[in-house]
Amino acid sequence: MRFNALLVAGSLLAVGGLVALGPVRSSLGLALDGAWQLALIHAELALAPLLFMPVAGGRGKALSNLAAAAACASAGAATVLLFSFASMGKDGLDTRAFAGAVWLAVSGLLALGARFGAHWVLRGRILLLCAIGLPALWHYLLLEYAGSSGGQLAPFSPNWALATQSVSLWPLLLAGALAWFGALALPDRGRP
Amino acid sequence: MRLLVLSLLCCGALTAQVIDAERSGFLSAPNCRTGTWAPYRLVLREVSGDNLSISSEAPGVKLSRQVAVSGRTELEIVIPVFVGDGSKLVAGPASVEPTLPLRRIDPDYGRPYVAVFSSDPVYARGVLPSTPRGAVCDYFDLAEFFTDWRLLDGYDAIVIFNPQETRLPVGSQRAMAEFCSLGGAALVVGSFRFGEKAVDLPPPAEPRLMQFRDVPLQRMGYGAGAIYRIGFEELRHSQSAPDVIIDALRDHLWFGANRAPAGTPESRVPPTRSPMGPPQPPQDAAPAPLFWGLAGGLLLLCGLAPVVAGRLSRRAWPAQVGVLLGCAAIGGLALLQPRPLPVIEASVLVRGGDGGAHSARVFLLAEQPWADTLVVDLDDPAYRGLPRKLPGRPGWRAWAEDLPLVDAGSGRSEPVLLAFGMVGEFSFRDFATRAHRGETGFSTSDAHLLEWWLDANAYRGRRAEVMPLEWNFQERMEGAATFIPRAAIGVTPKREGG
Repeated sequence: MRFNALLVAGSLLAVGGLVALGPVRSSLGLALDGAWQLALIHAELALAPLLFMPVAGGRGKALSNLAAAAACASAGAATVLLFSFASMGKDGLDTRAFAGAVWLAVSGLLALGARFGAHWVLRGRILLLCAIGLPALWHYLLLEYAGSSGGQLAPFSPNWALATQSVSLWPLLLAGALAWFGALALPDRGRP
Repeated sequence: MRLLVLSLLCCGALTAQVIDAERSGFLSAPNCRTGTWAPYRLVLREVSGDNLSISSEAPGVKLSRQVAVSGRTELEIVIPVFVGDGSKLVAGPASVEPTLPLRRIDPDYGRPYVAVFSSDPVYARGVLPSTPRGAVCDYFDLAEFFTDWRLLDGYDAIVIFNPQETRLPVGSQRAMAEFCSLGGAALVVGSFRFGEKAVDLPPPAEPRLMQFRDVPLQRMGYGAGAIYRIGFEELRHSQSAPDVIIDALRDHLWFGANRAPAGTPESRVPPTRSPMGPPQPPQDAAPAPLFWGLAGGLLLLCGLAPVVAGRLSRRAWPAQVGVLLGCAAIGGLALLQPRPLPVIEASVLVRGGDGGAHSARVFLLAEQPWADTLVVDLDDPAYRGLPRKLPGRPGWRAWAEDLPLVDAGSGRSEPVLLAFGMVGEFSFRDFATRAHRGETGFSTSDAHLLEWWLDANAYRGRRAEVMPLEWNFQERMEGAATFIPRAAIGVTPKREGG
């Protein structure tokens, strides 16, 4: 998609504006300080599977999807860094490697799906949302019904990993590299 | 050849300044008071160079000192070292974690912790022995009298036996005055003979004649502390010399009463309960024009770059690469936006008494991006304070900083009198509640510090004047920060029962 980066920047700026609204801010318990930027970082991580729009097609499309993914990650980073004026810390800069790894993994998996058709992109999106959301739900269920903790699942969910400072880049980089390798290496349909 | 010379130089540097662990140690051993700074003798061998930087590190605080080597190969210095976990001494490339003394001396009204200086230590041990019902004493040679009060931090009192009129080292007068202004008692048996004259120090109060067990002595109040003087011959002829000294020390620690106040005495040990109220809520950050310009530029870039690139090339990736580069540039510029500064909130408790000397305890609460360690230059004559870390709330760091001989400044309203647990006609708790509501001369910011002090002291059988003060204290500038003075109260203990 040609305007994917615009979609990312516009959405994140809208989220930043939404968080600044009094009722939203008070319901989230946020102040207009470093928490504002942190909320935006969490929004970026959570929205990455929804905001990246790969174009289904052959190898050529995969290459342009790779460029689009890089542009999306860059637009997301620029938007997050724009909110540095509110924070006295370096959260925005410190989380860039992690956010980049998340963009790599998410865009890689969706781009791989795009090689098999648009419906696989949709399935990939659902799978990614499940991967991000289900560990926290599973943890809650374990706490509620089994009295045990599922805290060890935190690295599987980027938002949870960031909140608990259990960030691990290597699995994301490996998954992203393998997915992009697959997306770029798979032969086009109809070709030997 | 160059490599060989370089490696030899490196090896030389690495082998320099060996800390002699056997001869180094706390001078107060086997006694010490946890949470305070105690004198430590550091012996260095194989010293080279002209100057050596020595630092004594504790969690959140670093005391540093420069020592002139001047051709010596062995160096012996006395430096304050924190008695607690995480203390460390660093001398050039060498470092040591000091072994803490075994006997921990807690603050106790009945048993003061005393540094005894005498030219004849055997005589001093005989006159003022460490006894379970008397005092805990550490004995030092008079010629080694500490010229920095920070070496006396852990002690409640100092006793000086000087029958031969030995001249004390230069700096002793100031050290003693600073120690007393912080609430300590100095008892001199014999004569004062300082190594310096005309030191710019506030004079003590007029001497008051007292008598303990038929031995006459003079008491001169000095801020929160006091100086006692006993004639050497009078003490020598007394049948109960140790009791006379203990009685004099207790006269100060018990505020002139014949019974110890309740609870534990005030000491420089950091309080376990924070005297600071919750920090003020952060101010809302507002975007500057640069933010709006960059945000507009970002949207324009992401929207126009694909359109423009689409006119120039049929391929999609050049546009995306253009967006990538443009966003990187905008992100870089975004980091140049002015950011909010960390906030430091300070409350100060000024202690006064007889005479014009005052001391202050400043409680600092700093947001975490601010310096995590306060660095104190022990050689700086302008700063004679001593900080120590306090437990802080999440996201904040806290210190208590003791400052001797400060200018107290003027009061904001009339003082109130604490006596028998009452402030005026209100119980001290009711008075604190009224202060929180702003119904007294104290501000609502003062109320937290006031409540903390009243809680710690009202039960002690204490009588004291408490007064809100104008802020009159220099702010610490370890890094750029927004400094907020929160509270300033002055306390003047009365030597009457209450």
